[in-house]
Amino acid sequence: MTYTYNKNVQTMIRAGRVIPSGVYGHLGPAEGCMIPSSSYPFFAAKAKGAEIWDPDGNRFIDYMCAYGPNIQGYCDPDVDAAAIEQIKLGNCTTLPSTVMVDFAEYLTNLVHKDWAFFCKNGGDVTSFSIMISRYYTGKKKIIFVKNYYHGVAPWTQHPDTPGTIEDDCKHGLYVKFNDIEDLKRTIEANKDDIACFIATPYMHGNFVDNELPEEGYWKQVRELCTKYGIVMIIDDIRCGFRLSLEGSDRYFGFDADLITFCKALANGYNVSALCGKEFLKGAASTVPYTGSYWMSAVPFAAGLANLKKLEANNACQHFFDMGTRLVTGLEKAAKQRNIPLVSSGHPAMFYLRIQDELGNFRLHQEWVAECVKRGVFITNHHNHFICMAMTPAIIDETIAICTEGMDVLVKNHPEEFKK
Amino acid sequence: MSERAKAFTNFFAAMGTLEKYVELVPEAKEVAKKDNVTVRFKVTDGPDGILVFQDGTVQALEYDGRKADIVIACKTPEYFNQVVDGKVTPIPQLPGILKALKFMGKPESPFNVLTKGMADVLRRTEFKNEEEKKITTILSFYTMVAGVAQVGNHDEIAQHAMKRMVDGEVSVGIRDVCYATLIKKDGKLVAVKQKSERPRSFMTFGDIDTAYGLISGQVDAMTCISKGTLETSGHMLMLDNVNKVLNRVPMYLK
Repeated sequence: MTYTYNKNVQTMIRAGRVIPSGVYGHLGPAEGCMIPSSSYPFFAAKAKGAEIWDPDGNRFIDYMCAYGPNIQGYCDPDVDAAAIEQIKLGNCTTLPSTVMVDFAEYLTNLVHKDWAFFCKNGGDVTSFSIMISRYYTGKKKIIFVKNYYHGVAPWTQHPDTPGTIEDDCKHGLYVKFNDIEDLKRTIEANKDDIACFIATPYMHGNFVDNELPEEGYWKQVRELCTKYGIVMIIDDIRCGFRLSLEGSDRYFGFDADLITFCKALANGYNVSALCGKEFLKGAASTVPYTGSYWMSAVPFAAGLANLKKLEANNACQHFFDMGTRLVTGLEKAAKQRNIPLVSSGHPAMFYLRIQDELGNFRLHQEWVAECVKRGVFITNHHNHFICMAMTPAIIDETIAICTEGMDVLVKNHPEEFKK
Repeated sequence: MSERAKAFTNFFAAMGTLEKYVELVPEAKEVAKKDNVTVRFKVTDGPDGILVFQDGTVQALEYDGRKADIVIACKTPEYFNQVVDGKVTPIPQLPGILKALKFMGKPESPFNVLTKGMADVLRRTEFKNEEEKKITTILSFYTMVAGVAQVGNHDEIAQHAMKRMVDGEVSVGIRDVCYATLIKKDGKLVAVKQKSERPRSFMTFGDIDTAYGLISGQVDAMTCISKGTLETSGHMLMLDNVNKVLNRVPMYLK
């Protein structure tokens, strides 16, 4: 028995009348990660722990975790209690709450940086990091790593992106991940005008196998940035607090100048943070940057409770263990069926792909669709996320459902998986 | 907008759709049968292409060295575009001028009847019956797909998206009606009016109404994806870049 989505579709039709795209952005079916859209729900009715339920009453084990923010589990009682207590004291007020300072102290101590600046979304802090770098260095160019994603602001885009103009993109330089020689060449050719290097701690781009840093890569990048006065920015919005609570730069053995956090920072409460070294604090103070809700107290209280709980529960070990358990189980089931399942990335943020001859991902998309229709919410071409609410029992249930999906795939394409 | 990109689009996408026009519209086929003739449009810094009229069929090809019966030389892409828009009268080269006068010299000449007839079909927005709507939609579909290739290759902004596309074939179609293929290879895009045999990505309109609505801009793609009337699958980055090129096609096909 597989799921049907009548109420989802009806709601999407309503949404389409009054909201651009119905569901715009990365949660919507047009982003290319929910294929075919007919296999997916579009809306959530409720969520708890590692699970969500859609308007049709279908239950899913959710490996997208709201694309990262769900790190404890949905509706976590401790984080929510901290938020509710803060609501009683005040949220968006004329003067910021002292909890902002508490949060900044806790966060900077945790991630070994000297200051924290809070905004709302990942794109807010990546943009701010670029502004600070340009102001501090007096230079213009930004080195990106190909297949990057740092939000949707025009400086992150290409000239063909609707709403972006060529001038927005003319200061971008593009290097390959794990290719130190490419970086050296790029720096050499532009060394008088490079403000910053921005990258994620490993290449977890969509639509491509995820790639961990090679031995010594980050050490050499760090040395080059220091030598040439380039501000080194780590975009830890997706990885942050899943690989290490101390920041993913620490996890990979280096020290970024600026590091951005968002998604997992407050278990779904809306706050992002840019943390940095002392020498950039003056620039961060000087560059004008603010927003109506950036000092609202409730997300700070939630974030504080969230980080404390992650620390108390050795969270990253749990993410690694559960991710490894899941990926190992899926690989075993695939191998038994002669399905060439490829996994990549860190176990806490595993990426999956079924190899196919034409490189068109259709077998992978078909398998993913069968999993979704049976209650495991995974997407086609995005990394997934583990949260604290995922127990061994939930992981094993997932493996069983995904294995059933594999059996359907083999039944539909016996010629593809002959021994 | 680039006049050069417009010239390529005008020749290979707009005039190129004559091929399907004479296939689908019997009256057009009869007109095309009147002459077996090869017309070369030689545009300086623009397309150098031939339209081959043969026994009621039409083909638009890159100039391949064959002898053309009529040669229209255009000094600039802009001049060619004015010819296409009917703002200037093309002057054929001397050899073949008599054939040119017969084939395209007057409003009732075969070439002009065909191009005007096709333009009317493409532009009509009210239909007497479903068949009319179907023909308009199919012709618009082929013009759009060919336009993606030309705009992707020649529009400076669209080239960014085209260059990011991986090599391979994109299958584009109206389910159970017609299909075309976009091929990315050797750093450029080629449109073929046939179904792909080895697609890496797929964009399929569920029916004529969906295709007409989307191509004419009356409905948005998101609503169609949600309703399941526009299916996209396969290598989605290819399609994402096709869409970015497609965003720029309408300004060239006005």
